[in-house]
Amino acid sequence: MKKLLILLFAFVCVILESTLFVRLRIGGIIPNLTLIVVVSIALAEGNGWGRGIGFFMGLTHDVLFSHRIGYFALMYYLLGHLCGYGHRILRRGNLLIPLLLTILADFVYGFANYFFLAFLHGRTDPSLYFHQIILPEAAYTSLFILPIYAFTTWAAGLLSRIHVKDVITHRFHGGERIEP
Amino acid sequence: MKKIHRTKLKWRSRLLPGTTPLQNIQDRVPLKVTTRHRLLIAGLFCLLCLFITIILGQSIEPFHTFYGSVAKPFQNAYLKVEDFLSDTWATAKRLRSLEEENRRLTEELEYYVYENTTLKTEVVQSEEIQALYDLDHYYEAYPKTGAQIVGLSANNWYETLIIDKGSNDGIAKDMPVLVSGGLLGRITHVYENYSEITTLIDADSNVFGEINRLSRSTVNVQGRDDLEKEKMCVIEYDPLEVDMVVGDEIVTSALGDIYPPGILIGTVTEIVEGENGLSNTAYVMPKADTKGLSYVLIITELWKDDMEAELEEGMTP
Repeated sequence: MKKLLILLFAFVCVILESTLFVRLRIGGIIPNLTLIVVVSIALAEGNGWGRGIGFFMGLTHDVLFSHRIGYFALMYYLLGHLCGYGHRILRRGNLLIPLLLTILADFVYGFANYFFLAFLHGRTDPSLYFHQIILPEAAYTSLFILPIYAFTTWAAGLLSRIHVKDVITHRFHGGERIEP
Repeated sequence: MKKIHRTKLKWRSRLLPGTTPLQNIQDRVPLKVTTRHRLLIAGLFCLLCLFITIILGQSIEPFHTFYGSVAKPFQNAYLKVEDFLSDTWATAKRLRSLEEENRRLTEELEYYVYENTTLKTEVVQSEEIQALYDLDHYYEAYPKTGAQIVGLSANNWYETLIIDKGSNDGIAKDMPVLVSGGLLGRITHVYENYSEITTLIDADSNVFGEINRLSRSTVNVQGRDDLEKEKMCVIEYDPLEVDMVVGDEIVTSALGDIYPPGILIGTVTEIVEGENGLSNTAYVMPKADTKGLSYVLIITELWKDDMEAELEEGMTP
């Protein structure tokens, strides 16, 4: 149930990124919603979930918006895995680490993209790409991090605590339940 | 001999615990799939996909068909919501002036109905003149179809557009795409339910253009290779061979393989003289307006096919 809903949420986010967020372009830059969702879920749930959501969103992004399948899948897979290490050191209600971690991940993502999509194509001018794409993207993305992170952690926590059997039998806060 | 045997055991027991050669049947240990295995499997899968799509150049159809059909309802839902919201907003803004406009339009309509009857006699004359300017309006005779843009690449690193028509609707690779009377790009990848357009300003794009003046010299219009001149195309040419001035219109040339001739690409806005006077760089502002992009026009006939047919026709006496 939780897996299904989070996968659905991730899919809708990828679609939203190409429809809604594209209308919110500033200087041709859109905020990287995929990255925010992957890092949020990795921080909320751990390494495994980070990898899974990263791979799924990356693959969806690849298949729908590119003909080089596998690139963003691998990229977000690794980012999800690495950000999952933040799950252990996170305290509840901490908003600083998600913010800084997402911005850091955005820079890593940007430099990797620069290397594979521009440098290896012969367009070597790191300062231009940094000032025109990487830095603005990190800045614009940082505006959307906290609300989406707050929503994702709340939703993931809620889904972890609700069990479908309890909902059906209308039993909450009652009965012995051994947390899995 | 003993040493080699031990190192073999060492790496195998690290990578695949539980698969080392056993001494006793009781020493069996179940294989545990660890993070390292998952990383390896996912990495290999992605590299395989990349290999197929980049090096072999094939597209993995099942993925595209599946994702395309799953994403279509979401995209349609969003477009409906957006259309509804923008319609209500526009109507609300214009509520006051709508009645006045309606009155004015009905008056104009009466006048134009009258004018139409008189103009019909002049149509025959203008058709003959049109034939003389064939080249400029060549593409008007081509079959065209409209499509809606369902998504721009959700990426800050490349400029592709996704439209909601695919091979099911008769779209094929390399069909030219027009918007607001100018060339936008061409279809680069076609899947069952959707297709991908690469725009003129993409760095890998190359179009054979012609200057729309008597000189008719051919130039090569490229997508921007640096980001300083956003949304512009670049022409590098030799000023001794090609005569270009600011304000020249560039149209597609008949010499190219992909685009039919006569489609307007853009206007030259700036010419930068190169050092040594060898090659100048001209910046072309494309006619196609990519802001608020929603509907595009696709020419559903491939220029290559037409060219062959014309050549054949020319050959038969």
